[in-house]
Amino acid sequence: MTSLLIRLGRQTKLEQRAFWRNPDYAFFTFLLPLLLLALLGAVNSGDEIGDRTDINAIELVVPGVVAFAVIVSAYANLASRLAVLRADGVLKRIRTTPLDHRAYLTAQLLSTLVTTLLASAATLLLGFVAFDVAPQAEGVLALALGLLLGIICFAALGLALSSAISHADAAGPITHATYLPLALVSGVFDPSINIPGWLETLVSLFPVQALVELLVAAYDPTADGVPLGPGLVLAIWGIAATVIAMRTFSWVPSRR
Amino acid sequence: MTMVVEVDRVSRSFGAQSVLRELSFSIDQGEIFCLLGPNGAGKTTTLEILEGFLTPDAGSVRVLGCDPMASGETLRRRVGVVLQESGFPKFFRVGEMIDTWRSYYDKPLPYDGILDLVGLRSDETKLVRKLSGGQRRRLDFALAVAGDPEVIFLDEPTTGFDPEARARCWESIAGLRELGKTILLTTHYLDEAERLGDRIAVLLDGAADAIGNTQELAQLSRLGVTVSFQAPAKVAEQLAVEFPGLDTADEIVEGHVDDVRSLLRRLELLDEPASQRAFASLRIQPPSLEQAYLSLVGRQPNPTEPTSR
Repeated sequence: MTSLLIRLGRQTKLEQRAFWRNPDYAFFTFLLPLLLLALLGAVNSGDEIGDRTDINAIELVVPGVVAFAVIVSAYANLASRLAVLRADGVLKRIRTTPLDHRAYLTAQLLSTLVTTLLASAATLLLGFVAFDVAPQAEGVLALALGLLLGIICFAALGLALSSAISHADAAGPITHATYLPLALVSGVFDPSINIPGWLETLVSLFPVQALVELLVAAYDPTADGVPLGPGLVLAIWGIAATVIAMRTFSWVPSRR
Repeated sequence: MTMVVEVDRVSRSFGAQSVLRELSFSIDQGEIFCLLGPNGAGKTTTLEILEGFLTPDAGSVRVLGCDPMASGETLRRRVGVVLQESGFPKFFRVGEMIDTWRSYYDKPLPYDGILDLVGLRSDETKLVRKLSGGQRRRLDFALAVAGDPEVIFLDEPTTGFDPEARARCWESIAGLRELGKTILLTTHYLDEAERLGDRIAVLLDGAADAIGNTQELAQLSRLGVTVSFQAPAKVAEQLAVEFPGLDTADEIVEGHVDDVRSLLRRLELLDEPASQRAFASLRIQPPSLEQAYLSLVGRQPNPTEPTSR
């Protein structure tokens, strides 16, 4: 048990080190959300949302961008990283060693957890420092639950998606194509977006909207505790993705 | 003699395409065994079965007495693998890779020993993405031997190399031989097989057509030896009639004979000056691996073609 923990710690540390050395990953997961928050904050600061007078638009922009940080880091990045590792034969090489393969994957997930928490924390911090926006005291539970469920759910989805990407070249386009449209209609970039009722119902079944709602609840002074519906949506997607990932995960490149 | 690798009547198809057909061979401890064959002959499929990536449709394989598909980690501790194509995490440093791989095994080779064996000492702190093709292949070697394995599988280790990189790679393999490792190597280069292989199996259409060292392969290919000697014109013409493989021009007799001993006996029976002259100029050459290989794959050797490629 101790040796397994040491192994996990060592492998996670190594993955972290390699991650931050890659300028693409460092930019997309860490700097892009910050850049986005700075821009959206500048555009929305002081605006009101519809006829609400109790909340400033920026208070909804910050949780939206935090959701974006979680999705980019835990989902898009993990999926494309694993797809590239598989297509390049790195996973196959790992399979030729006696390293416990579950330990290798666990280390990848732990490294993703660390990166995502760092990216979320940096975004939260920028929201506070630059726009004076902080979660409500009563919202801390919603924030913690949103981050925890969000990271687990989106990492599981990333793991599942990675198996569907057969070529390294396709990794970026496929991952971005799967979450960007949802992020747009779920109010990640524009909390005041008006979409038709049927689309709103549809979108509420997807995890992007669920994550945004949980995080918004942490900032919204009128929110009533932790919204359970979105939590349930994240949990169901997370479980389904885990089952699919376990069935489809492959260590070798596809023969196509 | 301990058999390190045993392949017994293994067949494997992909869809309608039959890649291996009752392939059988075995490898002794400490031996370098070459699987030689053209692209598509089934070399990589054979290795992937031995590495536990594929199951055979029929037949059985044993590596160090274990079934590679069932033995998992226990066997992988004792086997080193250089895959035909496999990438690296590009933002790791060479030294980090080797150290990490060493940590996967109970009794790894010393870190410095690995660096020296593969000649990456001066690239220790380089990022993997900055390495040249040849350096990457040497890192492949380093990782394959990091755990001090008993048996090493090398899938086309020098394909696409320039001559200098090939020579370095051959040195590394020779170094592994000195460490007493059992090595299974696939290649489509004849000179590589001839130079490195203690024994060579010619793999054609998924079956081992012939197995042996260069001389044994030559015998199996039923090529006679090549001879040449001088003889007076009349004698030469007579000999060319008696031995249909021989040709003569300008008092020189040249060609193949199946049974060299009967030719030698015949030369002894010539009159004294002719016999002396023939023996004084006689040259006998066994068939080369190239001739044997091309004869086995059913083509005639073409003297203008280079040995490899």
